Amino acid sequence: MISLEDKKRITRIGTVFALLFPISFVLMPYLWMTLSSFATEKELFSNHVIPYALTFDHYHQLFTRTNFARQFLNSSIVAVAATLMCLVASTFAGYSLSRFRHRWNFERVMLIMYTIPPVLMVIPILLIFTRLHLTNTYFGLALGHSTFMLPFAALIMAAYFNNIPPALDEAAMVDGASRVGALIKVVLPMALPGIAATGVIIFANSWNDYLYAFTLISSREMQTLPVGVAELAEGQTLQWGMLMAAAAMITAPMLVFFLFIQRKLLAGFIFAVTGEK
Amino acid sequence: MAQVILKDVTKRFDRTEVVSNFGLHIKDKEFLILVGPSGCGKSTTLRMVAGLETVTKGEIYIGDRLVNNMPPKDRNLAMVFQNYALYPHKSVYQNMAFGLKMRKHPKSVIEERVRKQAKILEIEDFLDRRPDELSGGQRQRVALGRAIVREPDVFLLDEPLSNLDAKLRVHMRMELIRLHKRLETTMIYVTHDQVEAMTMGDRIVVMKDGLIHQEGTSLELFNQPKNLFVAGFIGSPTMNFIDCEIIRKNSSLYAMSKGMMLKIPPEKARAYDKYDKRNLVLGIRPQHFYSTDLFPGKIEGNTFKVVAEVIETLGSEIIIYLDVEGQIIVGNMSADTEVSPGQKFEIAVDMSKIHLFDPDSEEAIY
Repeated sequence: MISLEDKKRITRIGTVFALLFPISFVLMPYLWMTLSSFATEKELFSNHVIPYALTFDHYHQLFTRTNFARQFLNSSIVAVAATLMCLVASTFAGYSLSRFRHRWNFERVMLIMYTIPPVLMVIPILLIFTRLHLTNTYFGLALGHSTFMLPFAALIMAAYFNNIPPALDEAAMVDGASRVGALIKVVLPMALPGIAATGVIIFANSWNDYLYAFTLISSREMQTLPVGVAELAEGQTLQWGMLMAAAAMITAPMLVFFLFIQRKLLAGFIFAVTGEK
Repeated sequence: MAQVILKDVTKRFDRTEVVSNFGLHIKDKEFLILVGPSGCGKSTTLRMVAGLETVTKGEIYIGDRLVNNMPPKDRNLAMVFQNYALYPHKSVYQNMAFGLKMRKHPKSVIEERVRKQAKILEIEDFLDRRPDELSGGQRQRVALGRAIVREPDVFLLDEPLSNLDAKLRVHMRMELIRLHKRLETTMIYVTHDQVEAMTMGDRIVVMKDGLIHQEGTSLELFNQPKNLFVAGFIGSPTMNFIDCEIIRKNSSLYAMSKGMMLKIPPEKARAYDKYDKRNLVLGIRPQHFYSTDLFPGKIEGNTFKVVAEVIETLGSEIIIYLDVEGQIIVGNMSADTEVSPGQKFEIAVDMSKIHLFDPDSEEAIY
């Protein structure tokens, strides 16, 4: 007879093993990428999994021989701008979806918009932006990113607001606030985890976007990271070491960011879906 | 302090009419109760007064100002919500101060008013806590405090006690009555609980399906319900409704139903004269049944035989379910009544307290 205590222990060990597989599956490429970025050119094509000699050469080359620093700056500006623009719009849109009766079912419209692949919209957006002289600008690219992130962000924010009782806005309005005042003074402070969670997703999408950045930006000066890194892989000879260093540099800020706020992020999503804290 | 006047107020959501031609004059300093089953439009009416719902048709006056198009913040009302609606990210003090801050009162005034009311409501020890660190009763007090410090013209209370447990509810009921006496401010109180309505209000308005069915004091509603709905809604346990036929025998009127033949007292008979041979609904409150053993002052024509089905003992009284030839009626009698389930016995009815209703119009006949 196995005691209940032992059974519990076995279950726990089993769970760890069950989790180990998907986690290593996900982490392997990152590990490979990081290790490769520090390996010498020679080591890259040897049989060693873990390089014997470490070098910062690839990183050095990345910053001296390519436009990487500028691209990093461009990406940061665009991602921050897209996040801010999209957050402001989606907060108001989400609040409106959550609190007002609409003659048309805007929620469904948003959902349909979300299912349209961004690639379908990129050409029309390019044509419009060309006329508005918005191509090759930070604002234009950030706006482009907002167009495909907005429906999703608004839906997430609406789900979040749905879990904040409308009686709170009403209490604030009876207490002397306007509708917007109630939103800013009472509802928004409560929605901060949701706003943070949505913001991170928008930021990550803008940061990672290749398609819009490639289409809307033609000048080298304005290129963002994904486009710049892709160019590294376009020549006759692939510079694997530098490519890996660039990939690691792109991933690093997002990774650090996620590690810092993962708790808040999860809490934000759980509250949006279940309404539980 | 102000009166509230609703003139022919109608509220429609899409095509459903939730409140229809609601007309009411709420006097200054009155404690008015809106009571009715859920979905009767009582909360919507209150929310229209607060400005949280628009008015489809009609006019609402607070004091002598027409407020139809005035946003809630300018109406100088305070509202207490069913789930208290305390701001969870603010402390108790900040919750209570919020309304005053929005109205730009100086800090010293805010501080003084909040501390004073917190002391009266016995929540001064919790001023730094967050709402989620408080019990239900304490949250209720904070919600009340937040309304009181504003010193509004009118208090609106939307089922403020329904989230409390039974014992606390009875206690808060008494505190609210005292509060109204102390503040001398108009209060409009919405509830679905007829006991709350009966015990608290100066005047009670009974609503159903968006219409006012009756308004009056507790006793008026209890003793002279206007129709079947009010008769059934007010009073606990619910009034017994028995289908009966009015017949004349030896120049007296009788209400006859299965297993009972009850003589209508002569002073009441005049009103029912023209209903001879008609079918009516006889209404008898459970409190108006007596055991003939306990009260031997038995008058001919007001007793009938019953079988006790279920007996609920409440201490000072019993609630007893009685079978009258297949029809179940409920009696609320003295605990001294000696009866056990299955026992056959005779009970008497206080015939001066009976009600008769027209089954078609559902109106009471007096």
